[in-house]
Amino acid sequence: MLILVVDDSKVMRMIVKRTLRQAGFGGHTVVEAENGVEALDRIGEKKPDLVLLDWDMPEMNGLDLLRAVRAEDKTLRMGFVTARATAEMRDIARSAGANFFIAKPFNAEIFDEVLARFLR
Amino acid sequence: MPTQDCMPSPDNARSLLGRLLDREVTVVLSRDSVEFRSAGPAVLALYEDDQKICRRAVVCDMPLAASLGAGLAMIPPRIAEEGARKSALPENLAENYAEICNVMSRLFRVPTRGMTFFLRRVVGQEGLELDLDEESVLALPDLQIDFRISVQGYGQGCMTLLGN
Repeated sequence: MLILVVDDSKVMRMIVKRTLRQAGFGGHTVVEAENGVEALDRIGEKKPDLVLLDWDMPEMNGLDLLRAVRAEDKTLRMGFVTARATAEMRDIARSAGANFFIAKPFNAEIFDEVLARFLR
Repeated sequence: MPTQDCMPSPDNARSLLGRLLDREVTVVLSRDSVEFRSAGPAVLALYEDDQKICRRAVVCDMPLAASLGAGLAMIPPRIAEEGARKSALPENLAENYAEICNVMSRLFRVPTRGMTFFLRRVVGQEGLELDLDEESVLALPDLQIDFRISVQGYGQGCMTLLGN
């Protein structure tokens, strides 16, 4: 499977990739984007199976990206990996069509628990 | 009026930083405060509430900010030691430390009291102008807690958390 990691922080993209490996998902291919606009291009070009999104990003934030994708595609598995993990934001994300919501800081156990249904 | 129980405990900070860095982090209460303008070089993170008013701040000394920034990306400790001796964090350590500050916004949340805070910005000391609400948190905090933090494999230092 192909996983797209979208985060404006280079170190956080690195940590997400490391945690995917630690959770046993190292056999999947990972591509990256650093904002929502770049992610839209990647989604069009690469057709990922799963998208992990940060919330706050320049150019286009994660929520706007999710809404843009959902306007065309209801099936792509997408969800947030964010520090903005309030109950209100979880509700907004769910209403916009997010399939999951992971709060930072996370670990391999949390990735396994949330993402296994998409990646195994 | 906020009360001291709105501030995180050492254990809250240890748990969050340890999980984020994926390494052992020790946090104890400190008798020393980190003052942004009067002591040596420091890094300031400012947090706003859901009304966009700055209500929380974290002042971190350079050795700790460099250690946390390096530890997040497993940058060699030597780079952190060199960074800690400068007046401002090198770019890579500064970016990493800013991400830590972003995640640390969770430390200030008190869901039972409807308190939510988000990172507004992270700044160094050079040429800095603060907005009035930012200045108010630094100059007249109602809440304060001081930590001494040690990062396994890296260095240690102090961090002061302020609120009003």
